[in-house]
Parts: sequence; C-alpha cells; structure tokens
Amino acid sequence: MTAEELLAFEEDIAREFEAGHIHAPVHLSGGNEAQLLDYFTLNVRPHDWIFTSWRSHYHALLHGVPPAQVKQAIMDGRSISLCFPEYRMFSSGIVGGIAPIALGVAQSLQWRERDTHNHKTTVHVFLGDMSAKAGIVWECMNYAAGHQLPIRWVVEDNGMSICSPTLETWGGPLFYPDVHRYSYKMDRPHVGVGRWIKF
Amino acid sequence: MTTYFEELTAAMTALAQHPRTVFVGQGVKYPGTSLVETLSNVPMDKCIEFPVAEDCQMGFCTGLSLDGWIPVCIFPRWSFVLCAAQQLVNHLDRIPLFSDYKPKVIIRIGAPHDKPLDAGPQHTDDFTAAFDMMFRTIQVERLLAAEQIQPAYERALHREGSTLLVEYTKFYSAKPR
Repeated sequence: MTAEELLAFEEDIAREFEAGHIHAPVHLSGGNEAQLLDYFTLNVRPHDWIFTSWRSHYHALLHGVPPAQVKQAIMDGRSISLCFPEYRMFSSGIVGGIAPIALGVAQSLQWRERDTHNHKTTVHVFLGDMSAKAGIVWECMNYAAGHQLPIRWVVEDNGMSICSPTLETWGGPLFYPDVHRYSYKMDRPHVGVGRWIKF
Repeated sequence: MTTYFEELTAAMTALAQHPRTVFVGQGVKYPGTSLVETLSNVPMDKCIEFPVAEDCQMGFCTGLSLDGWIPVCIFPRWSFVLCAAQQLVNHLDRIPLFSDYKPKVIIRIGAPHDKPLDAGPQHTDDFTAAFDMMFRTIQVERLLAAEQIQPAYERALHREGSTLLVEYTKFYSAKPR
C-alpha cells in the first residue's frame, strides 16, 4: 500500500464514524505513514507476527490484511482490538497488554525454529511511548534480551498518551536511578529451617 | 488408595504425556514450594522456570498457547495471582470474545491454609469466587477431594478453552483415601 492509500482508508473510516455507522470507539492513525511504510518494507515478512495496540488500522493493512476485511472488522466494532489469526496479527486495547503475549509467541518460535533450524520468523511489537515505559513491557524486554528471542520492539513516539505529555508525567526522559547494590551468598533456606517440621 | 498429593502428581504426569504441554512458573525446576514435588515425573525440558513476574508469566503462557502449546501456568498462592489479574482477565479470558484466537491455558493455583503455619493476610486468601465472577470464558474447577483431581485435569486438557484449577494445600498431607 502507499501512504495515500493508508490516508484514504482512514478518511473512509472517519466518514463512516461521523455518519454514525460504527457503534464502538475508533482510533484513527495519521502522520506516521512514511515511518510505517519504511519499517514494514524493510523488516516485516508476510509470515511474521504483528502485535499492536488499539491504534492498528495501518498495521493490519501493511501486514497484508485486505482493506475490505479490515474495514468490516472496524464496522463490527473491533477497531480497538483488531485481530486476524490467519495473518498472525494480534492487538489489544490494554496498555502494554500485548507485550507478554508477544513474548510467549516469540518463545514458541525460538523452540520451533531451533528444532527445524529455520530461523526466519520474527515477532514485531508496536508500542506507544507511554506503553513502552510500562513495567510489564520492561519485564518482557529484559526476558526477550536474556533469552535472545526473535522479537523486535518498535516504539511509535508521538510524545503523548491520550492527551497527556508522556515525559512530563514521568518527570523527564529515560533515566536509571542511582541504585546501591551489594552482593552476598545466602546461607539460609527461603523459609523456615530447611526441614519439614511436624507441629 | 492414593492421597491428594499423589493424585496431583499423577495428574501432572498424565498432562506431561501430551506432546504440546509445558509447565511454566517459579519453582517448577527448583525446590522452594511443595508444588514442585508434584512435577517429579515431568521431564525437565518441559519445565520453564520463570522469573517472579506474574502478569508477564500469564501473558507468556497465553502467547505460547496462540502458537499451539498447552501451557500449565502455575502459581503457588492466590495472593500472587492478583499481580497476574490483568493478563488473566483482560486477555486470556476475553480474547475468545474479541477475536477468533482460541487460547487454551491450564492455570494451576494453590489455595493456602493458615495451619500449621499462618503466613498472614498477604499469603492465605482464597480468591476463587472473586475471579470466577470476573471470568466470562475461563472454567473454574475447585479440587476439594483427591478423586476430583485427575478427571478435572483431563477435562482441562480436552476442553476448547482455558481452565483454572484450584488446589487446597491443607489436603497435601492427607491420609490415603
């Protein structure tokens, strides 16, 4: 698809919404056509998995879901959580909610492809800038890096979360607090004395 | 004549026979909770020792399921499941309602007892009824007697959706039935 086709699709959905034909929230995209076209062209293969948020019309279209099918899902009230299993696309309306699910799929791909020696499938996770700062996302990024899972995190940064400036809410850009850490070897069991006690 | 604990072990052993099952949680490979003893017959390569990240663990299992696995997602106490409620309710339970994905996760939860050791109000709750009210698709099974255990896990393995099974640790040291 071209940027013009993406824009035209969203214009069509906007008209349907204005006409009262969609009885559910819609989250329209705009302004990131060139960036997404570049990313999908360079990185995403048809058999890859795509995980996105509630603003996912463009992702579905660029991953090859036919526009009529995407539009029908939106008309059915599912703009906020577009899912197309046959295209390996999943989205959720909950901030950061896609991250651990994507992680599980990536783990599965690693097992599957380790067995077949066929390392070709990647999970792409698209997150807004506020979602990218969520604790659950950091846990998933840590796990994925540690286990070298086939997953790529894409932050779509418009500086805003709904209408709140993301960085203002967090008090500034990414920083690492000054943590005092000490290491030691524990010589006690987790709980009790390490033996089964009969009371 | 078998005990509650032996029935749990037998149920886990039977689940492990299925080629697509994996067991995910903290203490599935290493000692630390009494739950791990019930996995003694499960091959180690089916056990995924997970960090203490309950919501992440729950979503991870859902993701494994989307790609064809049948995860057995293990939490030793209900109190810890509160941290996984977002993935459990908003995703695993709701995904079949907002998409054509059909995740199937078997969730195993221990409902602790306050005897002989009372771990206090952060460790001894049973939230089964509360979560049952929040679920729309997940089936809840309360394992109140040893003879219920194996049939319940067999049903969980064969039904289309996800099942949450609650075991009661006060029965762990029960005499043979």
